[in-house]
Amino acid sequence: MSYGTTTRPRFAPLLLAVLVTTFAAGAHADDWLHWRGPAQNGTSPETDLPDRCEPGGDDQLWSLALAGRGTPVVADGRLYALGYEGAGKELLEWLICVDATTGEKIWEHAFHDFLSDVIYDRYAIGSPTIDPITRNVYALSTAGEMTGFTADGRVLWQRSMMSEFGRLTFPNGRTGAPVIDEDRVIIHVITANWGPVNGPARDRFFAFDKQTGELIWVCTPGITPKDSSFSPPLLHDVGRRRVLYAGTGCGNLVCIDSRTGEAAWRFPFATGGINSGAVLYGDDTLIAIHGKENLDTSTIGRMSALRLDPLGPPSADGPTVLDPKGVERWRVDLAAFTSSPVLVGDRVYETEMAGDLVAVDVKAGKVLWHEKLAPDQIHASPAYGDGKLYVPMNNGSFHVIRPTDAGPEIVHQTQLEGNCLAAPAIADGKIFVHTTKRLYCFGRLPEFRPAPRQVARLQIVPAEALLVPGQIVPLRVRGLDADGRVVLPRVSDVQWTARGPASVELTDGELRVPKDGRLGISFVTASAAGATGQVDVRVVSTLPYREDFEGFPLAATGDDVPTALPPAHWIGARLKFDVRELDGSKVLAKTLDNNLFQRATTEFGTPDMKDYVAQVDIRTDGNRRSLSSAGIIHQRYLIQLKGNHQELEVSSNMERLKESAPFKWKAGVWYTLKTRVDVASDGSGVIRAKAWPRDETEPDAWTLEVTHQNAHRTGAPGLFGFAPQSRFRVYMDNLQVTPQ
Amino acid sequence: MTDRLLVKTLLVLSGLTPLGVAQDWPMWGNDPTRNMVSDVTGLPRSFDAGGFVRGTDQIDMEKTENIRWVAKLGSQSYGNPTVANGRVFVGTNNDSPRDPRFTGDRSNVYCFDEATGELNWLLSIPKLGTGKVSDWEFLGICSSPCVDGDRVYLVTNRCEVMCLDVHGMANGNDGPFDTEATYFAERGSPPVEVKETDADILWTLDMIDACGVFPHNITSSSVAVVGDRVWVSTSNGVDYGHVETPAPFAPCLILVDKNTGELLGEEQSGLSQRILHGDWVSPTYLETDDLELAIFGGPDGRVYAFEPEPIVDEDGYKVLKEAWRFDVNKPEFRVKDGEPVKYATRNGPSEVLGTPVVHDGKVFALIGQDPEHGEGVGRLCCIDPTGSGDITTSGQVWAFDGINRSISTPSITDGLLFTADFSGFVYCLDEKTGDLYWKHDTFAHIWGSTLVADGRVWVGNEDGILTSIPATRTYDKKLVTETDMTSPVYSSPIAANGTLYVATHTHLFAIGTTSDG
Repeated sequence: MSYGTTTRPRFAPLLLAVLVTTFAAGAHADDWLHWRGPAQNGTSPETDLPDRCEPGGDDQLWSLALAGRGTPVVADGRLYALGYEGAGKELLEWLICVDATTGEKIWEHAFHDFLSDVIYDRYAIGSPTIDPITRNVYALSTAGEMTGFTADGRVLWQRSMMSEFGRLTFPNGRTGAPVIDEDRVIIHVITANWGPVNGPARDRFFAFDKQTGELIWVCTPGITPKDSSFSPPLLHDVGRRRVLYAGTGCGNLVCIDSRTGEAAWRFPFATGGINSGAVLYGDDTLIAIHGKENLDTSTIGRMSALRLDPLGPPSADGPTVLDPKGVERWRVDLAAFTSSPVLVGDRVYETEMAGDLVAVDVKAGKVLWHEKLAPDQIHASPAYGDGKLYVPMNNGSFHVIRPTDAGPEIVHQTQLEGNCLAAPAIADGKIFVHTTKRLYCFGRLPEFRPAPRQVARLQIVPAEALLVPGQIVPLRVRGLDADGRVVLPRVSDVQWTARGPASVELTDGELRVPKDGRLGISFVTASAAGATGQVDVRVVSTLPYREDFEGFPLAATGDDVPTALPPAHWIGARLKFDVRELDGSKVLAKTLDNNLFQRATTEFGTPDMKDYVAQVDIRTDGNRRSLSSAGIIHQRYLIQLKGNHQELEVSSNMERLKESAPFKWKAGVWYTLKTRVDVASDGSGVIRAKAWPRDETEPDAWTLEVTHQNAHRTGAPGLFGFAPQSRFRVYMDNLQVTPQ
Repeated sequence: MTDRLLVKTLLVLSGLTPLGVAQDWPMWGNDPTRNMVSDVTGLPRSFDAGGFVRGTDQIDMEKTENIRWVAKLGSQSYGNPTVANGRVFVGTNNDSPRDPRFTGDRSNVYCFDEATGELNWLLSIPKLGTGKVSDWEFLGICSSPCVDGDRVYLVTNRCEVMCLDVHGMANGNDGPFDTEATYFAERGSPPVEVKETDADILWTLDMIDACGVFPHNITSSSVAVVGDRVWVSTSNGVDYGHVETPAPFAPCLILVDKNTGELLGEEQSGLSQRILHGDWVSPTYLETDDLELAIFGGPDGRVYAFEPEPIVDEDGYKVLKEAWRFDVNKPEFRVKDGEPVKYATRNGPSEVLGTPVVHDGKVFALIGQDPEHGEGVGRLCCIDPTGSGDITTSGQVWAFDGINRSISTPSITDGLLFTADFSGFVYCLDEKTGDLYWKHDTFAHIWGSTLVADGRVWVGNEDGILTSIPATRTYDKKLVTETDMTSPVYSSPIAANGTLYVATHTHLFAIGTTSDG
């Protein structure tokens, strides 16, 4: 499912000076594998770092004209960064690999954006991450394509977080960075997947096998999110356990077992999303910051030091909710929504929302000084090395500051081209910083801990499976010890049970759906030697797929109109759509009872589907002042009948790829919408749509034909409904998705 | 002519100043001209906001100086205070709950006793439930309550026009609206017990149902009561994705009967099809001997004037006739080198967010954007309102391009115009020519507006500093004073009856000379 390498970006390195590297060949170069640096706190152990970072000056080794909003990462003399290029519907996001010393391109990979709400070209707000052992590179694209690459740019695996797991999209575009731990690559996203447990929108952490991309676990540690969050997970050994800490969109700091995916605790920290990363002070103190309302005072934002108590073994009981009074060592009134702290000895340095650099005495829990550097700060964070803070600010100013307890000593200040939205990276004696205009260059392996012990529980990989009838997926059952470590890579003599309407068969560790098997969901449990584990299974249709909703038994709650839940294997549909009767026929209706769900999208296929024709009947309630909208998700394009605009529209991002044709339609009348996408061998495509009153003959001509040079080549089919302010229902019926 | 204007005119004609009569500040901008100038005198030259009692969010009253009283607000307060007939009104959120019946994120209006700051009654409204798109968390009531006799008018976070009884429930539950017990409760929860300390709602008009509005982020503007009618902007705006306007034909400006809440008229000049972000500006009203116009800062960056009497269109809708429009944006903000300039970029087009001001028969308007979009190019124009059609060229008296994006409302007095921009600068211009006399840097973003009172310009900023500068055409840095208000100031200072009111995010300060101060 990878796109492979497509067209080349037009960047060329601007070499201002060729540095004779200060590191002799063969010596240990210092790498920067994750955006938070080798100590996970924004610091580098390197010395002899530049005092000046002047664009065009003697210290600039090279720069690239590539827009970016993340931190580059560096290993073995290679730099990897996310960027974007182009405009409008042909904009592409890039993962680039360049020579860290010269800026010369080694390889690159293009990501499409699709079905996204990202605006103002907020792309590449994230960083790749390098595996310290294999040197593989992992990145999450804006459209949610989680991809693993070899150091040479070969795609190892790719997962479509949107189509497979219901990953949500947000206008702010923040994706963050994966974190790699042992054999897992872990990401943090907001999903609304299927079913009563995974269907509601929540912060979810996904751990994939770093070699194969199989899902090892998924964790839902919090409550309903108020914001998205790209807070970077922080890894920590607590006794014999391995955990991660992260902020969430639901305002909690969470602690998750990195091996099993079980949430150990959550700390209610703020009323809104926490995007900053935390730092560890010593082995028992976590320092974190947020920029939203506090829960116990009416002030906005705070930095807190939390006491980390010993943990018991991992448990499936759900997270303990920590009492703030019980674990908070100190707090200071500082506010940062997305910028992360840097820990140097007993001092924390933080850039606040109002644009101040602040020094905090961690032992005393006191602010030592403030230094205003810019009118404001958003995502960017400082980095520290060689006694100096390298501080990029939102307005593009870049500051080299030697912090002392008496105050900041300004070593150098300059203005970069563009805005800075990420921390610098420090590697091999160089400082790397990305702006919305350019990437500038100025300028250790974790222990492997094999500890086999007794199997206490089972872990099935993949933890969630998406299949079509006739498909077989091998399941690996691994034995974990009480601390969650893998102690037996393959467990034998497993007993399998399946619960749910989907037809699934389990033989010899293989999950199989018969060719004529029922669609739907199933919960599969593995048992062996007194231990158990579970895998969630979703079976979707191959083509053709038809649904007229007549087979759904309706039931009423209280005085409500009888309804049924939508198909359980449709991602994101639960509670946002229901099945009900309209004029003697059962139809799918957009629900109105929760204003948060006024817009809903559901997908019901696999992300590799292509070459199909989709059709659905649409009808809306409403009046002259307000109508609703509905449409088809077709191969990563949204094709909708828009009520208030009286248009038929094709889009894939509302700002960049959106074309429409007038289409008069009114409330209370059924219309038919038909769609088709054709992609040529050169990658260009045409998206076609037509609509007509259902009672009339289908017109020959397409109403709308949209060309797209970098067309989406595959994508699951789905449906879309939008009831503005949840005032009027929109209905869909007689869905069919057929091969071209 | 309204009775109030008549009184003012008579006072002027008789050579009397309003001294000795109440110097209330009953609506945003004091009256529908929205000019941020107060007649109040005798304000203290220095005061001290006291700071917090360590470890709390309470002001240390022992350390205050020239502070008459302090009232705790929520955690975010954008609603500017108003003062009338012995009461002070202010909008905020519910992050410091004053009543155990109302918990969690809600939107509040407090009515305080003007002399003591004691709470008379409170209005506490549940959220709309849309999330950020139409009722962003913790923004509270952003509308400045408009007091007209015994009634208070505002727009709520739920996109309603609301009329309240100035006495609250203390004089009983007056109607026709009598379902406060259900309205105050969270949707789906049982009714709450209504108390004497609650607001008494007289009527509401739901602009989503009545006009098809899709509010963006928050319903935020301050209404203008003129005669028997209330002028209201609807807060229609873009969708969550910021590109699409889901209600492209809903009005941005409506006219409502102040006694009944009946919809009397609406703008249908296509403003919603040109919305850049949201329609949050407050309406202004111009009345001269020859002219009577509703002035409206458009969400497309143009100022519009509408004739006050609606006409019925072919579908039976009562529509306001557009008199003229004026583009405050320079042409190159919209199109450069033949290409449209993107919105929310530094050099791109902006909407009108600061309220246009009417003074001496002219209209003054400036452009700005949601602070989240950062700083960028701005413009301030003086407009001759006597033309018709597109008067962008013919109606321009002067334009000042030396200002950045601004969401402030100007103060015009004695031939001088004072205003601020989001970048943190305060400006003094010649009212007649637009020539710059001086510029002062406060070093932090300014969300609120200037107020001229007692010979000084007062303005707060995001760093919580209240700056006071002599309101003269000469500038002397030594005469500038700065007071730390302890929390960010996102609202505008106002003055009434010898007292300066400054709402920080968390507290309302009544600043005036005290016997011990």
